[in-house]
Amino acid sequence: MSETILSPGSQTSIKARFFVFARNNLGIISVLISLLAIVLALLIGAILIAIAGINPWEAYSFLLKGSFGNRYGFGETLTRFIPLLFASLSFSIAYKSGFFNVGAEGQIYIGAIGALLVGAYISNLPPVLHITLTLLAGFVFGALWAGIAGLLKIFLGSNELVNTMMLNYVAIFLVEYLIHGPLKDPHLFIYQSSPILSSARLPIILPKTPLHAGFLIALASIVIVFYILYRTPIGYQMRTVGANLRAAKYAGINIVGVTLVAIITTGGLAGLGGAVELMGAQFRMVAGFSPGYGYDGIGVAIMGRHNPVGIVLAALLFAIIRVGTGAMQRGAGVPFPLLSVIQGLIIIFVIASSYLISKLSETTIGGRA
Amino acid sequence: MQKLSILMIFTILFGTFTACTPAKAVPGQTPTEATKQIRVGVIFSTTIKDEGYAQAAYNALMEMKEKYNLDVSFQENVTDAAIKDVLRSYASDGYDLIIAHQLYFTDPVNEVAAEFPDTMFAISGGFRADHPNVVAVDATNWEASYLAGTLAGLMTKTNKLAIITASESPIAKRMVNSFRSAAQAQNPNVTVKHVFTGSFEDVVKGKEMATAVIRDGADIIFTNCGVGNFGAIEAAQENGVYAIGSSVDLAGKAPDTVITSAVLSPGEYIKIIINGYMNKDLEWGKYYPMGVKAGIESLAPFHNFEDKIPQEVKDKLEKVRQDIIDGKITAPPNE
Amino acid sequence: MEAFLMGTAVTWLAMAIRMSIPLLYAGLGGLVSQKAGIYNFGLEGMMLCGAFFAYYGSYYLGSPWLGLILAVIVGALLGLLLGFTSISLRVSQVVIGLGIGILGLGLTSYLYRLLDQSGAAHVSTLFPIIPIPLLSGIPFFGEVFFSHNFMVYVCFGLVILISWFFNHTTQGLNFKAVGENPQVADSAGVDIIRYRYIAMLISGILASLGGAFLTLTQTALFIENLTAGRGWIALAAVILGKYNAWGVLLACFLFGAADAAQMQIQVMSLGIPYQFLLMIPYIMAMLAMSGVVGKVRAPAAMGKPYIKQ
Repeated sequence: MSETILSPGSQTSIKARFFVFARNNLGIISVLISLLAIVLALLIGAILIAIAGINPWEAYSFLLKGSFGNRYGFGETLTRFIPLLFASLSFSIAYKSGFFNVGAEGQIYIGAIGALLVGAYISNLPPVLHITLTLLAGFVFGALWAGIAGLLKIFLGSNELVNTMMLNYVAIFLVEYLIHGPLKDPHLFIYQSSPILSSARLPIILPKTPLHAGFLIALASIVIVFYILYRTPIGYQMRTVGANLRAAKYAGINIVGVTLVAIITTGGLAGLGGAVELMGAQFRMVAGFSPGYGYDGIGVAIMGRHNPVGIVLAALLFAIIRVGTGAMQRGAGVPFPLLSVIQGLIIIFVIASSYLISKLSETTIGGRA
Repeated sequence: MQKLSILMIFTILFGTFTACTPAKAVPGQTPTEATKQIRVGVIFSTTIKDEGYAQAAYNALMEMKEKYNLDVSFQENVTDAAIKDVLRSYASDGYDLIIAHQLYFTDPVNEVAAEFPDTMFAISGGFRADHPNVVAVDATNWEASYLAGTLAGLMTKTNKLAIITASESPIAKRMVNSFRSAAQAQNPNVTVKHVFTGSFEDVVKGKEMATAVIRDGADIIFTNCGVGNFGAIEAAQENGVYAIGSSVDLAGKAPDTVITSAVLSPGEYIKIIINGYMNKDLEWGKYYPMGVKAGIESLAPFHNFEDKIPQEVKDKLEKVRQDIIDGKITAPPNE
Repeated sequence: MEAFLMGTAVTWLAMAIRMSIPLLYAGLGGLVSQKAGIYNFGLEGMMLCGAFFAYYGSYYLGSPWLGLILAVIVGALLGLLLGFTSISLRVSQVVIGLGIGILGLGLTSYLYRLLDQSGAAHVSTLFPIIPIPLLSGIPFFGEVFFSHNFMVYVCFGLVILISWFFNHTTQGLNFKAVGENPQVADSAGVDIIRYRYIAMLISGILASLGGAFLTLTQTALFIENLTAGRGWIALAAVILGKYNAWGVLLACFLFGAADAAQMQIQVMSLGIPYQFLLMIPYIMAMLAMSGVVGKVRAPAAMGKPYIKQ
């Protein structure tokens, strides 16, 4: 902490001291502010839980116990974390490149369909090859699905936010049709696809929990994504296009090429998330395969402020909420609607509190102390 | 530096979470250990306030809780994506009996049950039990529809009937075929229109579908589409035609519109499972389809229609009922 | 045969209108906020809250009018919540909208459970159908257009009003400027913040009315998650309608008609997979966006918070 810029004795010295501290520790302060917002939401939740006649302390202890306190819950939380991470990476890399992709949900479904086609219908492959091909299929299908919106943007200048959103609905209806018709498991009474073969399934990496190797793929993806974005020429170009299109044009960057890369990676990452969820956790396509991971991914990316640590923390928060609220229901009997209320409050409070963080970073970095 | 500090905070938090939880967990568990209460976990795919399939099961569960002093827990709105995790959580939390109340949970339960051979699993409304620690209890899902079809065939004046389902699943199709063949057995001139809403959760669509078939001439509507039933019954009421409810007795919603309901007693599955578990008289590893004979399926009382239904209709219904019990009428196809 | 087809067409069109009105209320709500440059991703949650409070008012206070008033108040509050976070706090409109959706689902379900302890049927009072004298007697059109409840007529009136407002009044043009180019509007003396707050207030009320329409005219019951995703469809309709009130009307009608057609085709026993029918409006929205069905352009300052320089 440098003392030199302080003017001793002046009225603003405490304020100035604070700003210097804040500038050097913006990360910690952001996390603290978000935590405070969560605590506030939980406090309101506690009042509601108490009104419902349940001990809030006990209820919240189940939230933590269910998501961290035992081996299985811990594994489950990290398993839920996987698709959330993929969805948020998908959103972030596109956002950084100036492409607003809210279509991760649909890309997850279509990616999973791609993985299903390879994983269930191509047999007699050694596992390593089969898994690789299945993952690849997920990536390619997701990328192609995002590509529809991408090409419409590149060639017709069509708004991708709207198109990716429309594609979510189309994807879900399409999958519904497929599992009612061509891809229905003929041995089953009900509408589900055939399961993927065991050679295409991801192994469990933490025994006696559902945690599968997709976790490692997710962690690798986050490293790769941010390496590409911040350490490679193409990443630099993507960020330039995202930050200032006009400057990118002046700099002679190939806008179409860069946008294409962004579209392929954003769709591919979401599709990969769908493939990994299919190969590691669910094995069959069902209606409601993704309970909104794609939409949660947007929340995760924005809450995580598009940086790797932030995204990991935010994805963990969403995973904890998903898993822990189940435990609150089972353990303390907190009714489902209340959990939904608490979840909504957490999202609103955390996002609203990001106002303080922006304000702080503007003031301190802008040097207007 | 910045990132490092965030990670540090996170590690500390993580540490506190994990460190303080076991301490809190212990006092909660001691009383259950001491009295050796049986712990039962139940999983619903919808809300327990659906005024039908899940709510009947929930009420039965509460009744059983009183009866045997059980330690009961349940989780609502469990998606197909989460079901396996919820099953495993219950199993690893040491629950004695885990009941999944939904047809679509059949496969996941059989899969997870193999991993926990010491825990008992049951699928209420399921159709397969692959392991010695799984039992599946369900209605036949066609016998009550057959009775409803018989009544509708005898009561229709326009010779047009309609059945509304939520999906076109094989189970729905078997209900439709059952309803249709029963109606036509009584009255060969009857035509039965089948429509589906595509959702168990859309009350407005149930109403619109019903309105459409009423416009098409149907004067009795057999409604079988989850909460859509309430919309369908409203449509029948507004248009002055009759409705036959399903799953549970729905006469209370519109006493002068709902002639009767094809009762499937979803609550009874829960009772059969829990009674069977407590009294050890239910054989695990089996699938129990239960119907009219077992008293699981029936037509609900006629209530306000008691005097409006001719005695000969009641006699014919009774004969069909007996034929079903005697096995003279066999399950219709599910295609 | 001809009479049969005619009858089917009447049923289908009347059904399509009933299915499209809740979308249209919410869609107009989405339109107003987007004109002022704010995405209303909270439409679904606002609709659901409107549906519940309208039902609650009608059931407990005994009059659908009181239900309607409650729905307006709740809608206004939710609109202001989204307004405060996106205008004053300048945080992500999209995520707050998603949060309102989750909060709305939880809140309405929880209140409904508190209310529904007894398990008896709580049926609220509905607004009656008011056939318009003379007009309702016209064959075909009478039944399709002039035999509805008053909320349907009001909704059509709102389309005319909103369209006129945005195109023919100074305030309406100011609104557009706020959404298109707030810097210019600001220097011309338009109070950006105030206009955006008003837009969010109206947007919330209209979305809430869309939900209220369901429980005050369509079904006398409340069920958890009653709106079942209609708010999201309304959001799509704003774009398909090219940010224009008449366009939104047509788009909502298209969504309603596709849904009604899906049902009607079943009644007529044609074997088309219904999923494909349901996809049509979304694909059309994409085509519209891409200029294939006429060019759509979103207000230029959409989604961007305004900071006074």
